[in-house]
Amino acid sequence: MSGTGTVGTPILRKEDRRFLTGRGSYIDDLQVRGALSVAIVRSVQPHALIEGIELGAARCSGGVEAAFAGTDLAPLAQPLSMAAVPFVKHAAWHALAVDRARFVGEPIAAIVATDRYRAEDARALVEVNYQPLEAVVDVEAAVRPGAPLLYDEWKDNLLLRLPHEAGDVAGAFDDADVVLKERFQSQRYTGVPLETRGCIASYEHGKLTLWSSTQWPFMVRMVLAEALGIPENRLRVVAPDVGGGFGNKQHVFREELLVSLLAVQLERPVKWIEDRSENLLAGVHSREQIHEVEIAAKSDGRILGLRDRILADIGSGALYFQGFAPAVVTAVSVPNPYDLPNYAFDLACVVTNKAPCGAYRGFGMPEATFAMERSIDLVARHLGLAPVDVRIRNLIRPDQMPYRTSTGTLLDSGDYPATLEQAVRSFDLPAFRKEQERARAGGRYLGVGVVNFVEASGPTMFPNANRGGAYDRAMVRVEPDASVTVFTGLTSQGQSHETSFAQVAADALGVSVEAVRVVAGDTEGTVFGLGTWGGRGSTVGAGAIRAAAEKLLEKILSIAASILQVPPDLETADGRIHVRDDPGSGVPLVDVARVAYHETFRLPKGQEPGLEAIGVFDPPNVDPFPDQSGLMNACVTYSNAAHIAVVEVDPGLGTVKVLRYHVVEDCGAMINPMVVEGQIRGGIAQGIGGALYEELVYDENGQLQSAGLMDYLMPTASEVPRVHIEHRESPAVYVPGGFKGTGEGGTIGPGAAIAAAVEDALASFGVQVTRTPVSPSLVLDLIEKGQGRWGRIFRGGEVCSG
Amino acid sequence: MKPARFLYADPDSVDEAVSLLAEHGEDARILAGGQSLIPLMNMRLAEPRYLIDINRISQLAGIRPEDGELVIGALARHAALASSAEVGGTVPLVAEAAGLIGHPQIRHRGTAGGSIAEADPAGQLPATLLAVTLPLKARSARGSRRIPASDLFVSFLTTSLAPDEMITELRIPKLSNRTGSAFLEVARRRGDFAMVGVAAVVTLGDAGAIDEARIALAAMDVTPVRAHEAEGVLQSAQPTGEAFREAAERASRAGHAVTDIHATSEYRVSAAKVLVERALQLAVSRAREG
Amino acid sequence: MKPFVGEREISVRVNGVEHHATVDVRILLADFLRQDLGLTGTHLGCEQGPCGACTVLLNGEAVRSCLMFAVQANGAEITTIEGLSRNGALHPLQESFSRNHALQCGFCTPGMVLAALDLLRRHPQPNEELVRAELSGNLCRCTGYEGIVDAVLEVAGRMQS
Repeated sequence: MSGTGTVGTPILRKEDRRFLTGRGSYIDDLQVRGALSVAIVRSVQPHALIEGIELGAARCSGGVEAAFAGTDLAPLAQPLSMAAVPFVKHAAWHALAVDRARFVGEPIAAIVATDRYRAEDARALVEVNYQPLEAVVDVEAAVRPGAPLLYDEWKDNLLLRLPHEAGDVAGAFDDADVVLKERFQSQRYTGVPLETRGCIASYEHGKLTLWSSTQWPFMVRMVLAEALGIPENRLRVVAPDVGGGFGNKQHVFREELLVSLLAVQLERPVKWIEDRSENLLAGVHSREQIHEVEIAAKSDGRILGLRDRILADIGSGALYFQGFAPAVVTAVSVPNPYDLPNYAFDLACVVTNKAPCGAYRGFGMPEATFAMERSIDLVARHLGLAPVDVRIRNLIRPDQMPYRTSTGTLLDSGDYPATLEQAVRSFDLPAFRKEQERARAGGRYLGVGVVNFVEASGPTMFPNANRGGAYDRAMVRVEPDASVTVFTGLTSQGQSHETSFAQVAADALGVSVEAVRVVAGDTEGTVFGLGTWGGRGSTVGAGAIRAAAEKLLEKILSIAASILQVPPDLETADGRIHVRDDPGSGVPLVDVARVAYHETFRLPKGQEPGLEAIGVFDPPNVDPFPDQSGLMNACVTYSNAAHIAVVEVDPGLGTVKVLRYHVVEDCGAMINPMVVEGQIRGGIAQGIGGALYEELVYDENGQLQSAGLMDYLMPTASEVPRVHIEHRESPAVYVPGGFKGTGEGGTIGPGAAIAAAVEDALASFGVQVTRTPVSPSLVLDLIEKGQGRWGRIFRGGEVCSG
Repeated sequence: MKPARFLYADPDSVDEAVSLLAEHGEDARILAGGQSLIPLMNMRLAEPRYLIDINRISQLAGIRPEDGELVIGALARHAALASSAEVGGTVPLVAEAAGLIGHPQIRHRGTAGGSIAEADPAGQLPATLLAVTLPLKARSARGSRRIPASDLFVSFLTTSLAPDEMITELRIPKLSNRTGSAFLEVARRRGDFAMVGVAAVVTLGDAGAIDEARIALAAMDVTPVRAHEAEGVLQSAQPTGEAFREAAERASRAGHAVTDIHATSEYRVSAAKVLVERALQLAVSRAREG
Repeated sequence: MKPFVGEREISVRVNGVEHHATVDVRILLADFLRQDLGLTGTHLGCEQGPCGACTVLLNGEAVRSCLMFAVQANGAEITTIEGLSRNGALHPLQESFSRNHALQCGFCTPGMVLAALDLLRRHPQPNEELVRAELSGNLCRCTGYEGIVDAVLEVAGRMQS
């Protein structure tokens, strides 16, 4: 078989025209006749008993069709929970809180009216009688004895405690020349897609249809069918165009359950479009972690062992699935690019009276990289070594690949030192040092930060949800007119699947990309699949499409051979099937289709009419769950990258500007380099947001202070620099085509790289950056009291500042 | 996030507007550019019963010279202030400050009168108004009056305008050509409200010493503040780095800076010191250029 | 004297087509465009201003349609994203966005394109810094902006030549 060779080329996107002309069809654009609008009453208390809800005035308000409190709806559905996951404590939550609110923004009542304006008029008339309970907002307070409890029956606030030790950690610390300890913090921030969440439900003739701005329609169907007691074949979930997800829409939301219940109850279509305040208050939060790292090193910079005590604040916990999953990924990912067999972590996932945490692009890896890369820089600084040299000394070498890490991760391929060395070389670090010196002479403070990391892709969801796996499925059909349709369970929230998946199918079948159309996002219009998250698109998504197309190709070739009356040593190109190395000899695909669909009497013996095939890619190297020692390889493949950030700091005002950003990325083979680079750039912009600007800030009373986009500061075009990107290609070992994931990676490096760059710029002030966002206030504070506070030394080494 | 019900009128004249205001005063709000009011209404943090849209009052629009002064109508948009040759030539500080407000979409709608009446302590125009000591003209059904800038800003988001009064215009005397000015600010991102803003106006005497300096700060208190003590330091002083530093030090303590999620009070004081010094340097160098 | 009203008849010219409607005075311009006129290319991302997704051209100037009431647009000329391509042919800026991979999920795209058009009207030959500054009222969460900036600069360059 020879393809048309579009894989690996930056062809322009098929979906662009629709979006550029305003013809995209996002959830709020769908016209469902007679749809009513929902306004949700949300708790203004971080922790309170709900003693009563007065809905009478709201029900009498103009345009109102119905109003419901939690007690009205609770009997109508099973609560959502993660009960099937054995290692976490049990919590369950209804669509609307019934008797107790656990965070500001928790849904407690719903108003259904003819339009959103009137629904909000009525909402203003709802009176809620709260009996406030003591709230616990700070994660460290939540783990202290005697802390107020969110779930009384737990006896503490620990959703999950997961200790793990591999190798001889104590021995490593005994053998160390220097032992350092530092605390690293990642703030609470999140994806904030420009399109908020939203869904529309319609219930007719015993069948429920839910349109939702989601990343995984089949998962939504599974979970809601169970909660609603509706068979899965009577529940259709459709994801229309989705205006960004970034993991935040990789959940099953109580609002989806709520809107479904309302549609069933009222037998009218019901629509809920989240507004931005709701999105920030009660959408998915992420990333809030504290790491207490102890690191043992030899004086030559070799790291012998590492301990990390991780506190992950996962908020109220009322989210399917819960925020423990990214935190577990953090814990197992900390040592990832390094040859570090002696590693111990102690992870505590803690509930607090804040919005629930969950998935956000990077899924625990940015936090891990921040802790690890900052620790490496700490070691380098203490030992007076160049940070890049310390990294090279500790990186896993290519001859060690595939490499099983101390947590069971099976790193499949890559030359990590080469990635880093290429980045340093092409960036030209010595030239930058000269530029830095010149700038310094002119009163400007420039700094550089260099980091590297691993990006895991194609994970199994089974351990975190007791459902699904790492596989995906696809169907490819050559239609009677020889156009090609690809059906996939992977929706797109901007990942360009309509183009890149078409490239994969086109090459496999030897047709043009234009001839292929990709259909996704509808549980009734596509094959079962697990959705778009965790770098699944280019790995298992494309793998399944390729498998389907190859299966179909066998049939095509067999029919073509019979038409041509030649042995089946054929290949395809440009929509024709021809004898190998004889392009003039063939038959057009449309003739094969004619035989397959119409002249079926000409089919070779044993071939059935029709031209479609279902393909599956089920990664052979992914473990379903941890073994008895807690070791598990959760993902099909691992990309790696080196990031270099250049910043300018104004030490008078504390402002940090990212001037340049330099990337060497190894994501294996690429389907569409333009799309890959777009993913990298977009991820880096979000990473810069986390490094410098974005934070979901709660006050001590549990009120969110950044509940609008004037206060939740996403970077604009003025805050994001150009990103220089170079590629390396270490093909994925277990993925057909050698593709690795690249969607998450951009978010992983910037926090650590920018923190390092700020430190470098302010080296003369002895500043150490241990948390993000690196705000102007933080910078001035660090300058003022920064002199020399460089970790806590337990043994060996001298504090060296600057 | 949709506004509550209100009743709407869009009068064609100031007379009409002020008589509506006289009738409904406390229950009415003026809608000018709407770039702050409408977000508040969308969030239902503001629920005026009556909304008086002044955008159709042509006499409030426009920027024109009159009696040796520059008259800026209350409805002059930030975009016009930033790009108007007359504003740039007469009071470049106003143009500079207006150009820093928000983003193009905001500057196309937002108005001078609206920005000042909103009295956001972090806003660019209120501090600018204090620094150039512009009087503004306000009208009510009871008549019109001039309000000195120093009397305008009372407390957080509150002016001395009566409920039945509206701003109609700013009047700006032409500054001498030995006067230089600068508006500097530090914000978290491009277009955000300032964490600290400084409006400085410096007039040099013939001998090169400072005749007069005026400094106003944004986001350093619940209102924009004049740094009188710092101005006193500069009065008749030579424009040296040392004088600027001394003035900046005093200016940074002119208000009671608060902590919010974007900046701590300590940050504001430190940054004000730096910004005031830089603004004075810039203003003086511009004064020397004439 | 004009009385206070709760609804008002308005005439608006949108993408060259005159529309007459009676609107509740509290209806935001964005909702009027999306719901009454079915022009759903104008997106709502925050309803507070900062995201810029709802940007339309009002008498040729970029404004946020979530921060205006429909009644205020009476007598105005409005251009939405749907009005940019003519007879199926994309505007050069739209083509440039595609060529430069200036969009991913597409949600911010209509507002971004219109803001860019407004920028090029006022500054036909912008440099990169100006493009970035002028577009800072439009958030994009997907692209990292580089493609957008390149798309605008490319069109500016072509307009010059």
